[in-house]
Amino acid sequence: MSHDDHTMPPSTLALRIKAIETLMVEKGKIDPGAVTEIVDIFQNKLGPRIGAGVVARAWSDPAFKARLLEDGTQALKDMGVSGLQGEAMIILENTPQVHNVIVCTLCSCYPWTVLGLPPTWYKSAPYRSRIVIEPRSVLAEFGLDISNDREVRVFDSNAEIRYMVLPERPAGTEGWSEDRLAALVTRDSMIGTGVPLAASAI
Amino acid sequence: MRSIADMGGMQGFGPVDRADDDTRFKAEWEAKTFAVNLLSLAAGCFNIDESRYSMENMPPADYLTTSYFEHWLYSLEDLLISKGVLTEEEYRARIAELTEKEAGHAA
Repeated sequence: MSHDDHTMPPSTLALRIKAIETLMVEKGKIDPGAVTEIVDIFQNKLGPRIGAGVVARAWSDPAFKARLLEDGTQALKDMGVSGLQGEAMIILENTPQVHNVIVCTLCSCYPWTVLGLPPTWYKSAPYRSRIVIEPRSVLAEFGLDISNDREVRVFDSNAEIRYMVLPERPAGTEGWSEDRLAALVTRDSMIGTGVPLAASAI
Repeated sequence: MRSIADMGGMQGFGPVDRADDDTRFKAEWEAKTFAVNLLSLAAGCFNIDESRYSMENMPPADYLTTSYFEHWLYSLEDLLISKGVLTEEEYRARIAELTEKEAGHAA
């Protein structure tokens, strides 16, 4: 089909995908029921609580943290966290000197296995275009003021490599259980557009 | 030539709309478009690089005026037909059939 000459029938989006889905099922390319299953996995089973568990474990277990930073893909696999768009994972550690933030300037590559699907703004033109040229301004809009003596590193994800930020552990959480720590870890703190909740928040 | 999808560093798109924080599919067609893409990929109908390349080659004006999952639908149609998994004729015929069926239900 040529998309260039705009010969597509003016069908609704719902009809177009239904036509493709039914033809693909008839041709045996996809199993009936598989569509519902995929949607259920991405909508209900994957999500940032998985990433929060990884972060909490890294905060609690220095040996795990070392493995996670050394080979994120393998350390996650050892925890049973792997799959599509998580085949090559690099974990970026925030420190007092460095704040990391992730983006996919070309589309929406995102660490699905640890965070689920991305929020709409992550896929939007303003975020994709601006975070790489004026990260401090964008982060300020998210309520994050990164001091000038702290380096901001922006990582552009791609089809092969996905990143996740390991945020700094909040003060006053010494001796906390992993579950309690995980409750402080927000989705945005693992994207780099936020920080974890304060200990006093829960 | 630089693709319209290569947005890093472009200017003029305005502020990030943080209020649109939803991660869930906004409509059933979005969910299906996502899932059928993944399943077609898994079935070997195309690979991830072809998928991205197709999306990045969407006509720039269309790319900017359509939603995120419309980009996915565009590349799904483009690849399944250009690779011969579906023919354009059967695709059009199926759309016509479904349109008629829907009109019948509505009547």
